[in-house]
Amino acid sequence: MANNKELGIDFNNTTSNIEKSTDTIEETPEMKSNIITDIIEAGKCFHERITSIKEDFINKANELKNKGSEWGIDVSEQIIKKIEESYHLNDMIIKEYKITLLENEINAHNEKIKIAEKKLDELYQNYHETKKKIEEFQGDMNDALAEVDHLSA
Amino acid sequence: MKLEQFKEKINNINFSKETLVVINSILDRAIKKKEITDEEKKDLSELIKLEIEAAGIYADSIKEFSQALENYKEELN
Repeated sequence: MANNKELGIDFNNTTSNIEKSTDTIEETPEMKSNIITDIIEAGKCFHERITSIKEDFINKANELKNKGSEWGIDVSEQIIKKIEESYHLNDMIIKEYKITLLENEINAHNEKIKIAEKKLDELYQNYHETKKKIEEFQGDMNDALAEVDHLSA
Repeated sequence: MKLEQFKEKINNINFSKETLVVINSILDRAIKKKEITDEEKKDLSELIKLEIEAAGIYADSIKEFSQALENYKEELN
Protein backbone atom coordinates (compact mmCIF):
# COMPACT_ATOMS: atom_id res chain seq x y z
CA MET A 1 0.00 0.00 0.00
CA ALA A 2 1.54 3.28 -1.10
CA ASN A 3 1.72 6.01 1.50
CA ASN A 4 1.79 9.74 0.76
CA LYS A 5 5.56 9.92 0.71
CA GLU A 6 5.77 7.03 -1.74
CA LEU A 7 3.32 8.81 -4.01
CA GLY A 8 5.54 11.88 -3.95
CA ILE A 9 2.92 14.24 -2.56
CA ASP A 10 3.71 16.57 0.30
CA PHE A 11 0.43 16.94 2.14
CA ASN A 12 1.99 18.97 4.94
CA ASN A 13 2.67 21.62 2.33
CA THR A 14 -0.93 21.27 1.04
CA THR A 15 -2.35 21.87 4.51
CA SER A 16 -0.10 24.84 5.01
CA ASN A 17 -1.31 26.49 1.80
CA ILE A 18 -4.97 25.91 2.62
CA GLU A 19 -4.46 27.44 6.06
CA LYS A 20 -2.94 30.49 4.41
CA SER A 21 -6.07 30.91 2.30
CA THR A 22 -8.30 31.17 5.36
CA ASP A 23 -5.96 33.40 7.35
CA THR A 24 -5.45 35.93 4.59
CA ILE A 25 -8.22 38.22 3.42
CA GLU A 26 -7.00 38.59 -0.14
CA GLU A 27 -5.10 35.84 -1.91
CA THR A 28 -2.79 36.63 -4.77
CA PRO A 29 -3.51 34.88 -8.10
CA GLU A 30 -0.38 32.82 -7.48
CA MET A 31 -1.63 31.66 -4.08
CA LYS A 32 -5.02 30.78 -5.56
CA SER A 33 -3.30 28.82 -8.25
CA ASN A 34 -1.15 26.97 -5.70
CA ILE A 35 -4.16 26.07 -3.58
CA ILE A 36 -5.99 24.72 -6.62
CA THR A 37 -2.90 22.78 -7.73
CA ASP A 38 -2.53 21.24 -4.25
CA ILE A 39 -6.18 20.28 -4.10
CA ILE A 40 -6.06 18.78 -7.59
CA GLU A 41 -3.03 16.72 -6.51
CA ALA A 42 -4.75 15.58 -3.31
CA GLY A 43 -7.83 14.68 -5.39
CA LYS A 44 -5.74 12.68 -7.87
CA CYS A 45 -4.07 10.83 -5.03
CA PHE A 46 -7.43 10.06 -3.40
CA HIS A 47 -8.90 8.93 -6.73
CA GLU A 48 -5.95 6.59 -7.34
CA ARG A 49 -6.23 5.22 -3.81
CA ILE A 50 -9.96 4.45 -3.97
CA THR A 51 -9.60 2.95 -7.47
CA SER A 52 -6.83 0.71 -6.16
CA ILE A 53 -8.99 -0.30 -3.15
CA LYS A 54 -11.93 -1.09 -5.44
CA GLU A 55 -9.85 -3.22 -7.82
CA ASP A 56 -8.09 -5.06 -5.00
CA PHE A 57 -11.30 -6.06 -3.21
CA ILE A 58 -13.18 -6.89 -6.40
CA ASN A 59 -10.34 -9.29 -7.25
CA LYS A 60 -10.65 -10.83 -3.77
CA ALA A 61 -14.43 -11.15 -4.17
CA ASN A 62 -13.97 -12.78 -7.58
CA GLU A 63 -11.84 -15.46 -5.94
CA LEU A 64 -14.98 -16.59 -4.08
CA LYS A 65 -16.74 -17.45 -7.36
CA ASN A 66 -15.13 -20.88 -7.57
CA LYS A 67 -15.79 -21.67 -3.93
CA GLY A 68 -19.55 -21.31 -4.36
CA SER A 69 -19.77 -22.99 -7.76
CA GLU A 70 -20.21 -26.45 -6.17
CA TRP A 71 -23.65 -25.31 -4.97
CA GLY A 72 -24.39 -23.14 -8.01
CA ILE A 73 -24.13 -19.89 -6.05
CA ASP A 74 -22.07 -16.75 -6.56
CA VAL A 75 -21.59 -14.86 -3.29
CA SER A 76 -19.09 -12.55 -5.00
CA GLU A 77 -21.75 -10.77 -7.09
CA GLN A 78 -23.44 -9.16 -4.08
CA ILE A 79 -20.13 -8.12 -2.49
CA ILE A 80 -18.85 -6.62 -5.77
CA LYS A 81 -22.05 -4.56 -6.08
CA LYS A 82 -21.54 -3.16 -2.55
CA ILE A 83 -17.86 -2.37 -3.21
CA GLU A 84 -18.83 -0.56 -6.45
CA GLU A 85 -21.43 1.47 -4.51
CA SER A 86 -18.82 2.52 -1.94
CA TYR A 87 -16.45 3.50 -4.74
CA HIS A 88 -19.05 5.67 -6.49
CA LEU A 89 -19.91 7.46 -3.24
CA ASN A 90 -16.25 8.36 -2.85
CA ASP A 91 -15.93 9.32 -6.49
CA MET A 92 -18.83 11.75 -6.08
CA ILE A 93 -16.71 13.82 -3.67
CA ILE A 94 -13.95 14.12 -6.27
CA LYS A 95 -16.50 15.29 -8.88
CA GLU A 96 -17.75 17.93 -6.45
CA TYR A 97 -14.25 19.37 -6.26
CA LYS A 98 -13.70 19.21 -10.02
CA ILE A 99 -16.81 21.32 -10.65
CA THR A 100 -15.55 23.88 -8.15
CA LEU A 101 -12.07 23.97 -9.59
CA LEU A 102 -13.44 24.57 -13.08
CA GLU A 103 -15.17 27.64 -11.69
CA ASN A 104 -11.72 28.70 -10.48
CA GLU A 105 -13.09 30.79 -7.60
CA ILE A 106 -11.45 30.34 -4.19
CA ASN A 107 -14.39 31.74 -2.23
CA ALA A 108 -16.84 29.49 -4.01
CA HIS A 109 -14.39 26.70 -3.51
CA ASN A 110 -14.20 27.26 0.25
CA GLU A 111 -17.98 27.04 0.46
CA LYS A 112 -17.94 23.82 -1.55
CA ILE A 113 -15.27 22.39 0.74
CA LYS A 114 -17.65 22.87 3.67
CA ILE A 115 -20.43 21.04 1.79
CA ALA A 116 -18.08 18.27 0.69
CA GLU A 117 -16.64 17.91 4.20
CA LYS A 118 -20.15 17.44 5.54
CA LYS A 119 -20.78 14.75 2.95
CA LEU A 120 -17.45 13.20 3.81
CA ASP A 121 -18.33 13.13 7.53
CA GLU A 122 -21.66 11.47 6.76
CA LEU A 123 -19.96 8.91 4.55
CA TYR A 124 -17.32 8.20 7.18
CA GLN A 125 -19.99 7.77 9.86
CA ASN A 126 -21.93 5.51 7.51
CA TYR A 127 -18.84 3.33 7.03
CA HIS A 128 -18.49 2.85 10.78
CA GLU A 129 -22.15 1.88 11.13
CA THR A 130 -21.90 -0.52 8.18
CA LYS A 131 -18.73 -2.08 9.59
CA LYS A 132 -20.43 -2.56 12.98
CA LYS A 133 -23.39 -4.29 11.30
CA ILE A 134 -21.04 -6.58 9.35
CA GLU A 135 -19.21 -7.51 12.56
CA GLU A 136 -22.52 -8.36 14.24
CA PHE A 137 -23.51 -10.40 11.20
CA GLN A 138 -20.18 -12.26 11.29
CA GLY A 139 -20.68 -12.94 15.00
CA ASP A 140 -24.11 -14.47 14.31
CA MET A 141 -22.67 -16.58 11.51
CA ASN A 142 -19.82 -17.82 13.72
CA ASP A 143 -22.40 -18.81 16.36
CA ALA A 144 -24.34 -20.73 13.70
CA LEU A 145 -21.14 -22.37 12.49
CA ALA A 146 -20.34 -23.55 16.02
CA GLU A 147 -23.82 -25.13 16.25
CA VAL A 148 -23.51 -27.21 13.06
CA ASP A 149 -21.53 -30.05 14.66
CA HIS A 150 -24.12 -30.34 17.44
CA LEU A 151 -27.21 -30.56 15.21
CA SER A 152 -29.70 -33.30 15.89
CA ALA A 153 -33.07 -34.32 14.50
CA MET B 1 -29.48 -27.82 18.70
CA LYS B 2 -32.55 -29.20 16.92
CA LEU B 3 -32.73 -28.86 13.15
CA GLU B 4 -35.92 -26.75 13.15
CA GLN B 5 -34.46 -24.43 15.77
CA PHE B 6 -31.26 -24.11 13.75
CA LYS B 7 -33.19 -23.37 10.57
CA GLU B 8 -35.05 -20.57 12.34
CA LYS B 9 -31.78 -19.15 13.65
CA ILE B 10 -30.12 -19.30 10.22
CA ASN B 11 -33.08 -17.54 8.56
CA ASN B 12 -32.81 -14.66 11.01
CA ILE B 13 -29.21 -14.00 9.97
CA ASN B 14 -28.63 -11.74 7.00
CA PHE B 15 -27.30 -14.39 4.62
CA SER B 16 -27.32 -13.78 0.87
CA LYS B 17 -30.52 -15.11 -0.71
CA GLU B 18 -28.67 -17.55 -2.96
CA THR B 19 -26.80 -19.16 -0.06
CA LEU B 20 -29.90 -19.26 2.10
CA VAL B 21 -31.79 -21.22 -0.59
CA VAL B 22 -29.06 -23.89 -0.58
CA ILE B 23 -28.83 -24.01 3.24
CA ASN B 24 -32.61 -24.31 3.56
CA SER B 25 -32.76 -27.12 1.01
CA ILE B 26 -30.15 -29.10 3.01
CA LEU B 27 -31.99 -28.45 6.28
CA ASP B 28 -35.43 -29.25 4.81
CA ARG B 29 -34.12 -32.56 3.48
CA ALA B 30 -32.60 -33.39 6.89
CA ILE B 31 -35.79 -32.40 8.74
CA LYS B 32 -37.88 -34.58 6.39
CA LYS B 33 -35.74 -37.69 6.92
CA LYS B 34 -35.26 -36.78 10.62
CA GLU B 35 -31.50 -37.07 10.50
CA ILE B 36 -28.50 -35.07 9.34
CA THR B 37 -25.42 -36.74 7.90
CA ASP B 38 -21.82 -35.70 8.45
CA GLU B 39 -21.67 -34.82 4.77
CA GLU B 40 -24.62 -32.44 5.13
CA LYS B 41 -23.04 -30.88 8.23
CA LYS B 42 -19.84 -30.38 6.24
CA ASP B 43 -21.77 -28.68 3.43
CA LEU B 44 -23.54 -26.39 5.91
CA SER B 45 -20.20 -25.46 7.52
CA GLU B 46 -18.62 -24.67 4.17
CA LEU B 47 -21.57 -22.54 3.08
CA ILE B 48 -21.49 -20.54 6.32
CA LYS B 49 -17.70 -20.12 6.05
CA LEU B 50 -18.17 -18.84 2.50
CA GLU B 51 -20.58 -16.17 3.75
CA ILE B 52 -18.21 -15.24 6.59
CA GLU B 53 -15.40 -14.86 4.06
CA ALA B 54 -17.56 -12.69 1.77
CA ALA B 55 -18.61 -10.48 4.70
CA GLY B 56 -14.94 -10.22 5.69
CA ILE B 57 -13.98 -8.93 2.23
CA TYR B 58 -16.73 -6.31 2.36
CA ALA B 59 -15.77 -5.27 5.92
CA ASP B 60 -12.11 -4.91 4.91
CA SER B 61 -13.04 -2.81 1.85
CA ILE B 62 -15.17 -0.55 4.07
CA LYS B 63 -12.22 -0.13 6.44
CA GLU B 64 -9.86 0.77 3.58
CA PHE B 65 -12.33 3.24 2.03
CA SER B 66 -12.90 4.96 5.38
CA GLN B 67 -9.13 5.23 5.97
CA ALA B 68 -8.70 6.77 2.49
CA LEU B 69 -11.49 9.24 3.29
CA GLU B 70 -9.93 10.13 6.62
CA ASN B 71 -6.57 10.81 4.93
CA TYR B 72 -8.22 12.91 2.22
CA LYS B 73 -10.08 14.93 4.83
CA GLU B 74 -6.87 15.59 6.75
CA GLU B 75 -5.20 16.77 3.54
CA LEU B 76 -7.97 19.24 2.78
CA ASN B 77 -7.91 20.64 6.30
